[in-house]
Amino acid sequence: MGDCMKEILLVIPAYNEQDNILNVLKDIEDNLSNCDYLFVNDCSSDGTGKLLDEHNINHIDLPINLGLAGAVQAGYKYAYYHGYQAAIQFDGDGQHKAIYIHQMKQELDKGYDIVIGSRFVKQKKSLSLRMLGSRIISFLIKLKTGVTIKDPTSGMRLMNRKLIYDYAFNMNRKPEPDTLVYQIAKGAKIKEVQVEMNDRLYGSSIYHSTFNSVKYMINIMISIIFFN
Amino acid sequence: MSLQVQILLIIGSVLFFLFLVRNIKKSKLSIEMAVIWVLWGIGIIVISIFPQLVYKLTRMIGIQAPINTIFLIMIFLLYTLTFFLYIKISVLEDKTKSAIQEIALLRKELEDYAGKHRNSNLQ
Repeated sequence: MGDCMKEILLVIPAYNEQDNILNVLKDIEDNLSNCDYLFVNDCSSDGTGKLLDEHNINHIDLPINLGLAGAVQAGYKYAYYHGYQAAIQFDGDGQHKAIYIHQMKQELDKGYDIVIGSRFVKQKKSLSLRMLGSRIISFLIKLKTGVTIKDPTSGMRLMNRKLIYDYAFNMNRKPEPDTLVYQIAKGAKIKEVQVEMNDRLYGSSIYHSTFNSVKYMINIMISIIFFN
Repeated sequence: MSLQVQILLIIGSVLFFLFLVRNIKKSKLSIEMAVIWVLWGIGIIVISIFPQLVYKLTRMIGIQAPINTIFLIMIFLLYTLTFFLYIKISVLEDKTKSAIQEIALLRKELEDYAGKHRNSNLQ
């Protein structure tokens, strides 16, 4: 059980996640006491919105679908307006586990600006194509900033108040590796904490097709090399 | 430039200009956005009536056929115009996104407020 963590907001983007929401909520309530959370229903076409209403779960409904980055950003805007000291993206598909947030918060309290829930602090990356992509991005970040980020694609990032404003209002802040490069360049101190991630419980991820993966890699590489 | 190309250019550019003016009048295009098109339209009309201007420029920069100079100018203009369009779209996209996010946040405030109000009435 974590301490009272009123000052952290869990931003939980949810697009067509009706089968996962209650599990995610249970995970949060079991492992974090008194923690504020906000589900961001990204204009889901399934029963997500209804479920959130019926169970009186704290949430906002985007009137138009914005995609992951826009949904997360809306959550960060909420965190900014309500004066939270820190905010973390916590995926609504059950990938992230609430039990690690307490430990991440402790690192934030030590003076780090961003704490990443990382799959690869202690564990090695496998040799899959996906991990090759992760290695390339890590290498580029190292080259550009001199900082080693072992899991740059992890969306589970805890940020302190200093970074919330920029993240909530700037056009190009997404839960992607290039944003980390920008933040490092601006002087943010980053710490990684070993976490375990679940596979998705239900539904499917958007990065499944080869075309999307290639597009993703090209976008991120160009963004890191030229713009951040 | 051959006579055919010149006639084609004159007819095309005048028609284009009329089309442009009509659309601005029908409020399909803001005047601010239309300025670049008006200038462009005038430019093409001038070039098609006085192709000597293009001949001069062609000799100056050492291109062989004058038509290539026209292509060069056109492609360059289109290139820059497309880029500015991209910028415009990005900005628009960002503004729409922000507006949508704010609407969602405001709606929540409103619902929370209404909810509190309802509860206090019941008590």
